[in-house]
Order: sequence, then structure tokens, then C-alpha cells
Amino acid sequence: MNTSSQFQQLEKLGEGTYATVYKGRNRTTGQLVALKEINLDSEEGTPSTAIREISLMKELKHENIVTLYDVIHTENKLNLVFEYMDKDLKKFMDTNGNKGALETKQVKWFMYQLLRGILFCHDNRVLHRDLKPQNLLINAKGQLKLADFGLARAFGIPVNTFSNEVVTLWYRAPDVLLGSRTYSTSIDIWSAGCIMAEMFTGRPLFPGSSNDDQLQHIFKLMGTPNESTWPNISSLPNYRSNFQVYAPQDLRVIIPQIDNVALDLLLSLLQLKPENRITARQSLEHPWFAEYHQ
Amino acid sequence: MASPTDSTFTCPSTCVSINTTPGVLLDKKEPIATIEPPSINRVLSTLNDSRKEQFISRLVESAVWILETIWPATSRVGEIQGQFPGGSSSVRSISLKRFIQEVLRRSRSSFSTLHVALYYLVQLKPQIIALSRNRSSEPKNPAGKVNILSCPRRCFLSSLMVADKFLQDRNFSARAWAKISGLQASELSTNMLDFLKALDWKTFVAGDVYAQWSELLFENALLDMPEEELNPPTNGYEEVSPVTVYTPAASPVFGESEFSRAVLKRSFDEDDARQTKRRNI
Repeated sequence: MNTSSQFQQLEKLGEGTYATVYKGRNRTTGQLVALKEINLDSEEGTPSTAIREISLMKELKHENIVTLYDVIHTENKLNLVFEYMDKDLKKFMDTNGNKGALETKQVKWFMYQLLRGILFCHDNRVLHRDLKPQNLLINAKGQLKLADFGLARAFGIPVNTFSNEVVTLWYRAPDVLLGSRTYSTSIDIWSAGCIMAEMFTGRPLFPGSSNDDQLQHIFKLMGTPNESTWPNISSLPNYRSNFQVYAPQDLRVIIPQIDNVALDLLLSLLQLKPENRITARQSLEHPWFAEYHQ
Repeated sequence: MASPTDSTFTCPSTCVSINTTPGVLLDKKEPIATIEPPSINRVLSTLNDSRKEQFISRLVESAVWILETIWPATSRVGEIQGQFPGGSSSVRSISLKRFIQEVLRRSRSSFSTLHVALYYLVQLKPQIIALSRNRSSEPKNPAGKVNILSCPRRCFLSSLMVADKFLQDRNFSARAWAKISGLQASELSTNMLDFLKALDWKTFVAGDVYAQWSELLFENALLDMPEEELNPPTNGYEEVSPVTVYTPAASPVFGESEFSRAVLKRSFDEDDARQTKRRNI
């Protein structure tokens, strides 16, 4: 089977570390699709990113998760055929926002869909581990869907290699930055908090340039944690007793338009200590989403 | 009519077997995390060395038994006819049990990786049986391409590679598996992809399914061991440990120095006797 016989390859949509994504059209039905092309290297074998992405997306069928239609193998390439989405959240903010900032109503609707997608992953014992605006796709109907499960993993089975090099730096939770490898679902929740703030302001909340700089950005705004606010923090590998001590800031300084209810949710998502972070299930029941609770 | 035990359903002569040259233990990066206090560690720590040896040996025997159940006729044929792919006359084929032991030891696979790999094989059993039934009526593939499902060793190796890539955050490349197994990296890559396609890419194993399967394998391995020494892991996956089946230093079960031709020869005899006994039960 050949992709070119089934699908007409249109323009390039994006390029990742292990794949290139093209827009495509089904020659028979005319349906638009996204074709993720993965090069196969015979010395490396099938990339684990492809194995995970395919197998997890076969499991995770949900309206807030991008649908995988098919896997087509040609000589030295794998083509994953996904449902077509118009743009990612980053582009949506750039195009539809006011200098990237979205209206509160829009932020709320996207956050609700994001948290529903996360809840579905977590209920199925899958961690996404790379949530960021570029990996959240938006279609013409305003639906938001989680994509790019290349870094995702199932967490129901004990393993002996659990990387802490996960999540794009700006969206990486403080416990992971401090070197924790026992992280769980709460790392996706931290990313969701960063994304929520970014939708309000149009700018990344913690744009760090290195692991230490990232911690610095977080501590400057959320306060520097210590043994009394986060017991046993000093046992984490990257903890240093000489971290500069900052007091927590009022987030309304950077997000002036945020109301108290939304701020309460944002602060629940951005708890430094992972155990204090709200769960996806609890977050969906938050009063900020009252209008969707019927 | 061909039956599943039809002797024409044989492993090709290039059937994978282990390179018996010692010293290919790879420098796999240190495991970078351990989650959950491992109860299997506790079980193992309550066992003395000879018991531990017995436990691991039983676990490997379970794996052998599963492979022999899936490929009733071929597992032994493969080991007798099999040649090391490099073609060197100084290397000889080894028993299925030794093969599994060696692959696990060299790859430093964890219990969970082994359990998931065996689970994948069990999922493929209907396809494998169907293939063996249809095989004799099938024309020979002109390209001489081996269907990976007809070879238990290749399948076991592919299954372990897939389980490792699905479960672990640090993986061996096909190149590294080539050093472990003696097969070419390119063949291993092709086999792995064929295996994934046969599995329809369904490598996800639900936590509860894994817990039951894993418990079954452990219980089987602990069967008949004196009870006072045991604290069987019966409490689900959170209790199951991520420890490796064989520790990096060659385990007492299978020291490098033991791995001589004489041992190999003996292992053939033992394996034959064991299998004959099993068939007679």
C-alpha cells in the first residue's frame, strides 16, 4: 500500500523531532487528514515514540483527543493518518487573540475541553507528559483535542526507567525540574495551569531558558518552596539550600482581568507541591465551570 | 492435512540463537528511576541464593512452557537445526531455556518487561496456530522471507524489544539488540515491525490485566517452594517490582564461566529429557 495512492499529499503542516506532518486528502472520499510521516532507521528500529503514540491512540477514543484513523507502512516510512484539525492552540491565539490573549469565555471553554481530555487519559492510566499549546489542536468547530502522544506513557505497570526529561521546559512541573522521578498525573495538571495563564495573557507564564532558570521563573511568581511548605523537598536531587527566597506574588499583577473564581482554579492547578495540585476530575467540578454543569 | 504439530512447520535454518561468545554484556545506562517499594525485591530478599536461583529458573521455565504451548512442534526443531546466523562453526545452537535466560541476562530485562512480552505472545497465539495449519498448503515465499510468527525465538526477541520500547523510557537501539542476539540490526528492525503489525500495534496492557497476568506467572514460579520462606506478591501491580530478572553482574544462575560447550551439550540433553517427560504426562 502506498500513501500517495490513497491520499493526496498537500502542504507541510509542521516538523517535529521524529516526524513531519502534512495535510492530506483522501482521494476517494475527499476527506482532509493529517499525515504524520515517520522515517524508519534500520539501526534504531521502530521509534518508541511511534510505538507509544500508535498504541495509546488506539486506546484513547475521546472527543477531546485527536483520532488516529490508520497506520500505513511503506518501505522505510510509517504514515499515521489522523483526523484533520485546523490549527494548534498557539496559532489560534496568534490569529484570534488580542496580542495572543483570548477572551475569558474562550479560555474557559478551551480549559474545560483540555481538562476533559486529560481526565480521559488519566482514567485510562496514561500520562501525556508533553502538554503545551503546540500540542493542543483546534478545529473549525472550536473543539480542542490533545495530540502528539509520542512522549506519553502508560503508568499501570512498574518500570525501572522513568525519565525526568519530559515536558517542554516552560510547561514542566517544579517536582520534575527538581529531579523527581516518581511523578504522576499531577505533571499534566501543572502544564494545564501554565496553558491557562498563557491563554489569558498571550505570553508563556514561565519562559525559562534552562532547568535552573525555569525554577527561578516559577519561584519568583509562586514563592520559593521550603521544608515547611513542601516536606521532604530537600531530598530531591536538584534541590539546593541556597535557592533565592521569593515570596508568592499576586497573579493578578500579570493577569489583571482574571476573576476570583478563575484565579482559584489557576492556583489549584499551579500548586508547587505535586500532592496539593487539583486532579483533572476535581478541576472539572470547579465552580468556574458551573455553566457547563447541567 | 497439516496439524499444529506438523513437523513441516519448522523454524528455518537461520533461526536465531544466541552467540555463545561471552562478554557482550552491554553498558545499558543505569536504570534512572524506581517507582513503588518493590515487593518482589522483598520476596527475593527472603529467599536464599539457591531459592532465588530456583525462583528465577522457574520463571524462565514458565516462559519456555508458554513458547512451547504456542509453537508445539517447532521450539525443539529450531534449537536442533538452528545455526548461529554468523555461520561460525565454533558457535552452537542452545536450548530454548538457555536462549531465554541469555537474552534476559544480556538485555537486563525487568520482570515487567518479560511479563508484558509473554503477554503479547499469548495474544498472537491464534494467529500463530492458524499460520501453522495453513503452512503446508502455502507456496514457498519466493523471496525467502521468513514469517516471523513461525519462529519462536525471533518472536520472543521481537516481543521483548517491543515490550521494552513500550514500557521503558530508556531503550536499546536495534544495533544494541543485534549485539545481544547475534542477528543483524536490519533484520531485527524488520522483525519488530512485522511483530507490531501482527499485534495490530496493540501494545497497551491495562493495569488490571497486567496485575493478574503477572501474579499468575509469579505464583507459578513460587509453586512448591517451602511456604515459610515466601511472601507471595498477590496484591496487584503496585506491589510488583521493577527489578531486573538478572542482575547486571552475571547471576549465580548463569555465570559467564559456566557458559561452556560442555554446559551447552548438557543443556541439550537435559532439555530433551525434560520435554520428553512433559509430553508423556
